[in-house]
Amino acid sequence: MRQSKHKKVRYRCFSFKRLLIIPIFIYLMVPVFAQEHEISGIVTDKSGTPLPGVSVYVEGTTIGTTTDVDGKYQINAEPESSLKFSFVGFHTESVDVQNQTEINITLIPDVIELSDVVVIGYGVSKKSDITGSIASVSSEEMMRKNPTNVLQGLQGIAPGVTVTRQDGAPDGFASIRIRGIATITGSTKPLYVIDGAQVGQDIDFLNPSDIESIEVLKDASATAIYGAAGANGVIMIKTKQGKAGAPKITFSVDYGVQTLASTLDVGDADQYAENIRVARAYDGAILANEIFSEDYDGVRKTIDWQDEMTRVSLKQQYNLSASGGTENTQHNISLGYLNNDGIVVNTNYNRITGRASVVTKAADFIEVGGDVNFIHTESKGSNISYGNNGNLSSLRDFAFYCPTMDYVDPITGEHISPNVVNSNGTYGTYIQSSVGTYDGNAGDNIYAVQMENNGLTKINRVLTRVHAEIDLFKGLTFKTIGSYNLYNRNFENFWGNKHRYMPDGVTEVELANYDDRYHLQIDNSQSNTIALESFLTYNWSNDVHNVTLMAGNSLSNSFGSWSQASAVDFPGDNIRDVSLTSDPTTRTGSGAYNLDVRGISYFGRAVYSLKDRYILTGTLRQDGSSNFGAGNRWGTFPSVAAAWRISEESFLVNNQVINNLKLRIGWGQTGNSGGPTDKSVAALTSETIQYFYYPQGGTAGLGSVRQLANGYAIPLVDTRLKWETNEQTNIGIDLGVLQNSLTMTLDYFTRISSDLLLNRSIRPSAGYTEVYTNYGEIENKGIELGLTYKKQVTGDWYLSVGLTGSSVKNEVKKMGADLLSVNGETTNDGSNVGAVAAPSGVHWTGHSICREGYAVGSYYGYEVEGIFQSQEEVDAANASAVAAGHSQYQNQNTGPGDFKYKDIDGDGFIDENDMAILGNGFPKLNYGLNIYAAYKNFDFSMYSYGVLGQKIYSYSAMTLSNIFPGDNQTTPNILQESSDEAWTPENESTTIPKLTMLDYNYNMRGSDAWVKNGDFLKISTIQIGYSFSNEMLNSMRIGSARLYVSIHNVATFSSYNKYGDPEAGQGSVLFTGLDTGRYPYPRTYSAGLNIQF
Amino acid sequence: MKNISKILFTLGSILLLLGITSCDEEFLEVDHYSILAADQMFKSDEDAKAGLVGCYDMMLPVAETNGDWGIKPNLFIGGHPTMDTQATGWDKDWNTQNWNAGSPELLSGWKHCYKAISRTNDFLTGLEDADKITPSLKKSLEGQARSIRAFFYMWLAKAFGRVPMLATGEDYINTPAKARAETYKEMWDFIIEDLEAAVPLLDWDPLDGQYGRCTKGFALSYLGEAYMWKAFRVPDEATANYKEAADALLQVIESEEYELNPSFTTLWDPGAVWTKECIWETVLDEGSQWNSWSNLTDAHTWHTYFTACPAAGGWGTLYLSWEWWSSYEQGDKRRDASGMTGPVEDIDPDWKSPTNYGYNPYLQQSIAGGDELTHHYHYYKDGEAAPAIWSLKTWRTCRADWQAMWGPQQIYYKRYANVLLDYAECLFNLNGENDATAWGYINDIRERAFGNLEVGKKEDLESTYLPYYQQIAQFYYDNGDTEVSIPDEYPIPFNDDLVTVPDAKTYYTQLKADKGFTSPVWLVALGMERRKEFNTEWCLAQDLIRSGFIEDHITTNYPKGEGYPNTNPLVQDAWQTHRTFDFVPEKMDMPIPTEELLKNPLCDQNEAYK
Repeated sequence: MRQSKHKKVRYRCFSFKRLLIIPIFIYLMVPVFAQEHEISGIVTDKSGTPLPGVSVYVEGTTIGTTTDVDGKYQINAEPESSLKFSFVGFHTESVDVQNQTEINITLIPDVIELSDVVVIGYGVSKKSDITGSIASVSSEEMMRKNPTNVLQGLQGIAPGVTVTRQDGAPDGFASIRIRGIATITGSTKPLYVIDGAQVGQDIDFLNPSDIESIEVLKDASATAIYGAAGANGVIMIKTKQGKAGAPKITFSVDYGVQTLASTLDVGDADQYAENIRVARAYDGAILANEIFSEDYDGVRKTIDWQDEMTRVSLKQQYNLSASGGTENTQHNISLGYLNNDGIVVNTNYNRITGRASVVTKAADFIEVGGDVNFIHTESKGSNISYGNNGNLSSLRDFAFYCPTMDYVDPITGEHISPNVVNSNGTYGTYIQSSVGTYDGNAGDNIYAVQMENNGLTKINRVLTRVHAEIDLFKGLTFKTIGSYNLYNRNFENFWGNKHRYMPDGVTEVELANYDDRYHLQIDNSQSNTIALESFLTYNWSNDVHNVTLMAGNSLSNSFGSWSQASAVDFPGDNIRDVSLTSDPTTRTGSGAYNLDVRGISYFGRAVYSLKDRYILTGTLRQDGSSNFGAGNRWGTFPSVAAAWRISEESFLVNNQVINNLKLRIGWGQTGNSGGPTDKSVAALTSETIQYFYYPQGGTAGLGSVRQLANGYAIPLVDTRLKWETNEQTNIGIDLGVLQNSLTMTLDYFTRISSDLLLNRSIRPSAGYTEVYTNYGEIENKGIELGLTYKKQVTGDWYLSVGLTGSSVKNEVKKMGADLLSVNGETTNDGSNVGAVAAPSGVHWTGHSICREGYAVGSYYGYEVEGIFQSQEEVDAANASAVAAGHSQYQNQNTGPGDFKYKDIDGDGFIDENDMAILGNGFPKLNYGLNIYAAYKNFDFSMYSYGVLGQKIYSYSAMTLSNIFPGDNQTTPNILQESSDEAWTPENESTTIPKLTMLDYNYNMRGSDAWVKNGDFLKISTIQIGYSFSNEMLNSMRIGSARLYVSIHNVATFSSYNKYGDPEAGQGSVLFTGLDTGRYPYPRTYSAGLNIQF
Repeated sequence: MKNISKILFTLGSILLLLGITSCDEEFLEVDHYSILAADQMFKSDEDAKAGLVGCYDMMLPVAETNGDWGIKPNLFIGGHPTMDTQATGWDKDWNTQNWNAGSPELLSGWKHCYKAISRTNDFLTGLEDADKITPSLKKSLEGQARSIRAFFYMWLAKAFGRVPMLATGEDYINTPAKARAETYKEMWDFIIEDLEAAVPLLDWDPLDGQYGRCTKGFALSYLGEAYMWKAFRVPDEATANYKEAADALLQVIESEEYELNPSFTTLWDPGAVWTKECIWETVLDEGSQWNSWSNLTDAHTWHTYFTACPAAGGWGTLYLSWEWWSSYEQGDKRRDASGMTGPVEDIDPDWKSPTNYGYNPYLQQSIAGGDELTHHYHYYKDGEAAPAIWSLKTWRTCRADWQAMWGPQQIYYKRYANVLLDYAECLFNLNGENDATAWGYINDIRERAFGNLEVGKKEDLESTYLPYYQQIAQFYYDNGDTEVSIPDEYPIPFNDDLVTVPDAKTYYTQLKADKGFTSPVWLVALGMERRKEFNTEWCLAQDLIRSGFIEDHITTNYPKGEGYPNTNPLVQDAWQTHRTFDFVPEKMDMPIPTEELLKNPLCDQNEAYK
């Protein structure tokens, strides 16, 4: 550290021999030639990049010049004089001229090394002074992964920061959780702060290539300065800014080819038919569709839906930026474009990002700056209303779909073999119920459905920010940041009037129960946030003491509105105007202003450092939120933390092994005010309330005489709603050994959330089933480890290895009554719970439970004791049940080959009281391993991450093992392995029950049979790069250039792969670890080029 | 100069900080665009009336399906314990006293009642402080609200025994846990207090002439019943409470505001609702269209669809027993007004209806053809059997049609006939089994049952009740059923001549001897008359329980071990209900729902289910 402050001047192009000769020569010549001579040279930065605009002058004179665009200069000076090189942002250097005619110099930045400084709330701090738990992520490291969005870039890089992708869609969701889950119904997303301005809980709008560095504030002593907003951690992002000097232009291009990384091994049409025949026999039923009889084995056509629905797709990304400026004004502009065709047909994501920033010094004590960020995205084909989670893009959905559309016409007896796509481009489909019955599928050709999916989501977002920073007096600065954040979302869809054709492509199929009218839907919403934050910072120090005080306040206001319009029945397929519907009664329109959310905060922080060894930090924040009623609006959140830099003590200061050792301990509170809500205000209900009055002897028939009265009711509201409190204690060690080539960060923390804001399930005699209130307590305990080894191994070899690991135990400490999840609801955060539909149909009702003593959203279901092997076993179980006063043990139609469930409550039969907690979706360990190596101009990097001790509650495994037609109108096509291993009288030693379509026993129900080991190791990225040498580039006036090739989603090692990708992220905390299938993660082969001019 | 600038900037910074801090509380006050403030409810007379609509709203089913307050759970609690209505399939436990605390139907009824009580409590709380409401209206509103609250508490009390009693001002926020009323006396006194208070606040005529509102007659009729329940639950105070009950019921009788309809048969016809016999009912309107999902309101349920014969497109939720069908005397028109049988091939001639044998005369629908399953005493399908009798009280106004499953319905909670029989019960309890007045009221009911009140009124009755059936016939004809004829007379003929009705006391004395009832004759008479009068009405089970007849009824009318189990195909041709369980009187109080026990630590379970 100290060494880094020393001036480092390196001279180039001088051989040792010349160094010896020159002084002698000078000595001899001085009396004679003690006069000016011309000196020339090049000024560069550390990377060798020429620095234009550097002031070069002869010390003590007015003689001077500046370097040209190539960093070159020429100047005349006397040998006894000195040259001064001055440039904003760099240390001024002085060089004695003597008799040199060529002086090349490298300037050192006039700032503390980036790696030694971290951005904290409302300021920056030397890393050595940090008392809280903070993880740093460099842009360089993140960008080696070519991330589409910021969360992808963060995956597996920082300990305690768990990023889980939810699907592989081109606009795919990912969830990020810092130090576990501290809420049940609220958000788990962290706060993002960009260049000091809070921007909310989404970062989708920021192009990763615009990022300079990221700090993740994890413990409360670090986040408490953001009070309520920082309850789930804070991610501080510093964006790239312009630098004084000649304009710098960078351009990067990344071009990738995406393929399906893996497939599910389901059966072909003949295996499918055999399964149906076997099941029908067990069910005591005959085939409904003759096509599945043995007569058609080898004849019926197999459709590989996984192949039909996916494709090799292209992904291209371009970024262009230009920066530069003078000593007083710097600017930076950038433009990015991403076009990502998903690997599922007719899916696409398009993104344009733009950013411009400028900083100027109006005077030597005042700086004003600002930036504008813009993003436009268009998403098509995924995450909209069809199939699994409202989209038809889950690999499991494709795989388990009936693998043939063949059928035997019940009237003509003809074997019909529809095509997915006919030769003339028209689509075929399954047998229609108007023609006959079916065993396989009652739905439509999913390829056709997907190709006709016109839904398009457009998002426009603008974030603009202005700041002013004033040095008021020595050590005292004032900074104010104003920001405006606009989010606009538009969804439009036009559909209807579909047509399907027989294999000839001409004969149209009469679709059963089909509304052939055109539908038009247009949704719009927009939200705005205006915020202003101002704070004063004062610093005073001497050789012993260093004090930094900061105090300020902020206020914010969020507002918006939404509208929707739709209609049905249009005269033509070109019409996109709701008013032109042929049936005005179908016109709908609605909209509203959003509830404003306002906040005011006051905050302060004091940091005291004694002898640069003992550091104490205290923060206090008071937040006021409009979410609560008067009297409960304000919450106060303190924190305190201390650090001891042990390595600065006398007994360690010169230790050759331990270079850095710091002990940190901290405690703090943050709060959570929940989302915008009317739920603290006593109000009249918005539900329809009406009643009917009649005259005496009135009529109730057609044309009845009655009077309709509309009315009011007051729903249950907790007007005493208050802040949710999040309390965290942290103890950590930072260690650096062997010249800091090996560093370690180890943290242990506890995080307790209390007074949770949640919809509490309440006694039914209250008249309501739940109320939004403060209740409950959740505890997270965890340990985090970060290990980094960086070493210049030899002159040409550089090696960096990073290992992260974290383990979090989540437990509901106080809950009251159990909270069981409700199926069939699709959440807007990407949770695929919609797939677990029809709760009574598939008997997965309440598969997620929150119960005291267990993790949030634990798995809930039945325990399988085994499989009934004979009717005698079934009869014996039923006889015992009857003796205990029940009708039967499980179901009256339970038979051999069905699961036998455990009678947990011991009452002699199976009902919902025999459901138990089967585990949870929190892995015992999250880890990441990242390797970077460089040899000369080549570099290599590999990123991997994984989990251990992970259980997955796999609805996918169930639907790939059981042929009960539960959803998507299809009898599932199960895994070949499940077909082979399903119970038969001859195959008793198995864990797969018999094949049955009726499934009287509900073998499909949520049970531990479907809880699978989800451990995995994923090699996410391998990249090889080559940086061209300056010598090669100078002639082309190129500053630097790097070419790379990479593979993403290289391999996943897991026993779960047969059911799908084990990385089963969900947006909702209640469904952590639930796998219902998802848009497949693509494998991407890409190549790219980064050039700087 | 530089220092001046700095000073100016410093001042500006301070002003900026001060400016922001001055916003404070006022800044945090936001407008709520999508809600109406709670105090809106009492800003005017009209607002207050609308607030009361929120309470009345709970009288209607929550949705168009059967979930919360439609046919279930009323059928399960008010019908199935008598075994006269019978369940099959998933609901079959309701015929064997195997109902349990986890029953979703019990929970939905429990939640619905408490939601209604919560609304009335909120309304009464606000009404207390409302100073902008016309005083006379305020009185009426209070009387109506207290009547509604008493109605729902009575439903809970009759179904579950003792329940948590939440008073005005109590809600979940200030009372997160609540014990059940400690004693039956405490609980029924709470209900009686509401009804006693409501009586003087209400008029005989409903407010604004709007039938569907609680009246003095409502309050008095339920007050009488409440006292009878208290007499049943608190035997030590029985006599005093029967006296109070009799006093209240006599006021209703002597008011002459109510009278029996001339024809029992027409009570479920859409041609006249809120007749003079009606003290409380829920009228469900069919909407304005027959074949569209549009125009749905809360006043729709799927009663018709659920209770119609499956062979005619219905769901088959409700069946009536042959024990009930065979209980009628020849000439009692209530049987044919209440149900129809399948075309059972070897049916007892006395059980063969001239109008309703395999045929729904109101809808001109035959179940004789097609599905042969209807041709047996039991409709046996998919391993489940149920008596081949369906209710015409609910399957009368429209055909079971998946595209339009709602028809107009009248769901009676209290008729004048209830008051008369309740009053008779009080008199028997007070004066013994020879009370002539009490026997007189039973005979009045029987005179109407045999059609003697119809005599001479055929023209009036047909002008009131026939047009609907002409209209619906025309509708079906227009929609393609050309077999339908437009009727020119009422589907079940009215009596032209008086008939002789056996004297009740004589008849039931003999019946007791013949069947071996153990109850006194008056109780047998009341119980059997109630079965005939109130089948498929939800007061029946509780009337039999409260009066003390239920055990005698089950053990005598449904002897154990007769017939065949429902899973035995031989059940098809046996008419008896196969009872396997021993009657447990304590199970007549339903179990407190599990969810209440889990979430209300102060609430305990009824003894029979512990």
